[in-house]
Amino acid sequence: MVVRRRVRSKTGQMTLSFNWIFVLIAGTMILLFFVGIIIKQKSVSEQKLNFDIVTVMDSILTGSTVSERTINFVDISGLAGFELYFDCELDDGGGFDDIFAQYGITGSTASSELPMQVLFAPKTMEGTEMITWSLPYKMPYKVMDLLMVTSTSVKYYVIGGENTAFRTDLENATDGFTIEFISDVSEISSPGDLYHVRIIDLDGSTLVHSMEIPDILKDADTGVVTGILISDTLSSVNYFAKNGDVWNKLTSAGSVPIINTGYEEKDAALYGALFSSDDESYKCNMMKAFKRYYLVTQLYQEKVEEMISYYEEGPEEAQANTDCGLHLTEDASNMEDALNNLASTLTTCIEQGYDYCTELSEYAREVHTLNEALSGENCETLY
Amino acid sequence: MKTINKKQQRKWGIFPKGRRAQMQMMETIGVIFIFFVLVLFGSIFYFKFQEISFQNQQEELLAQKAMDITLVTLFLPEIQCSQGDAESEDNCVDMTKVRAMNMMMEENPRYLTDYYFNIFGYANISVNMVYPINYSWTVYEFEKTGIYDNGTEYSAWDRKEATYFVITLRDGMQGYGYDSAVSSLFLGNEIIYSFGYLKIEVFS
Repeated sequence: MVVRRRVRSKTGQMTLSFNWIFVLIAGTMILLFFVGIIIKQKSVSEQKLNFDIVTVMDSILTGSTVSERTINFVDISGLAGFELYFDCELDDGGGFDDIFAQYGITGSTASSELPMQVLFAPKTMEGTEMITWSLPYKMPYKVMDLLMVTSTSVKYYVIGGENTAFRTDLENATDGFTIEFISDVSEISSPGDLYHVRIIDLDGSTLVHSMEIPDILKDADTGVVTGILISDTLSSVNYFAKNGDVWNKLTSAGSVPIINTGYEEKDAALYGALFSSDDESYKCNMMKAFKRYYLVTQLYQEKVEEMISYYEEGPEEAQANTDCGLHLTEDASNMEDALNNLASTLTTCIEQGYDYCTELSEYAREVHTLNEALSGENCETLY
Repeated sequence: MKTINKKQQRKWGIFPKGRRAQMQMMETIGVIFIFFVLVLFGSIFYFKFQEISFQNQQEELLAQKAMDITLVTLFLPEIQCSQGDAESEDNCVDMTKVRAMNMMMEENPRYLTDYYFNIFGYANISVNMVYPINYSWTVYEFEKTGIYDNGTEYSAWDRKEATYFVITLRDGMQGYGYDSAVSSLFLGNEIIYSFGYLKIEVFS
């Protein structure tokens, strides 16, 4: 009897532990299955979120770019806590083919390349409201719309240049921006919660290499405080950044010339410089504009050929207006040659870099003069 | 005590002790099996739902892309009507520029792949004249295609979204440069403006 009882008890123990082991294994498998699903879903959700952000941002940027001369305030409170970055790098060559540009969210896979779009923005940006401002780049015909991007958490201080047309224009145009027009550095307040502070110096009184930065900005982290010095003639700029307690001139190799015709009241190339993080980013974006300029110029070269043919072999009334032909091809200064010079300079410019693009302004002004002449003679204008 | 035979035991669900343990095991395995079957059904339903949702999202994206490309095309400096230093004319396409762009693309086909593809992607963009005549000009053409082993091409897109936008067409040279059928209608009749639409087809 005793022996049988012992055997039964052992069988019971075996069945009990087997059941527990079975439950444990099955439970672990079920648990692992759901943990696997959760991990997979988390990664899928993150990828989807990143993709959605980039898609929405792309759409916002496209819409903003084509809204010429319009300032848009875009609510990005959904991205609060995320840092946006805008990158445009030029390799040693400095030409268009050496460009690598992209934007995205720091520390995530959410990014999108910007091979063609010109976007002047701080290096990084955070905040609840993004500001986009599109201006047409005309040289002298419209090349493309240049987009400036900033945020309400980026503060701009404009110093100097009182009573100048540029300061007044800037004051009128930037309504809604976090911008203050001051006459002395003592009016600058502590950065506090601001993400970035930029000093725009219009007379060279504040931004001097190795000069001490205003006391109130000394505690700010490196990269938070930057500055841009605009020359009196608005023809060149220099970039500065806080380095310890002093200003460090980033453009040590020389100022960055602004390549424009000077005819536009709100010149996209100049305004773009104000919003660019540094000289490399500015030149890099301008190189993208010059590439488009090259293509648009080639298109106008084709149009000039057709115009020449129209006034030489077209209808009688066109042939009768001999002045058109003169301005187009026969005069010492004519449209065909001006466009050829422009195209040739642009070829060098996009191959060799920004420093080889300065002559563009001169040829663009010549094209402008010739277009005015065509208009004055009741000819078909180039643009 | 009344004894019952094996047939009755089976009928009443009474089993010897060893068999009872087997039955418990079978029960547990059955429960787990049904559980996994339910999970499998749930997964199939979930992934099917995800697939439909993904397809809907793809369609929305394509529609969004079509709108973006339409916007970009309407304000494209290469074809937009301009008047010297004045503001460009909205919803107006300059036909002299369209012809020049066609010529430029013919002479430099690599511009299509090297530059404009980055702006428009897989799309067809055409300017269509409705009045005074029906005529069409292609501004950009880049359809998504594949190549069979024998070298022949085939359309490799799954979806196509077409957008239309009404525009005016301006031609300061009164159609000079078109083929004779078109230019004969314009030349000498002082027709500068005509009427048409922009057709944008986007592929994915």
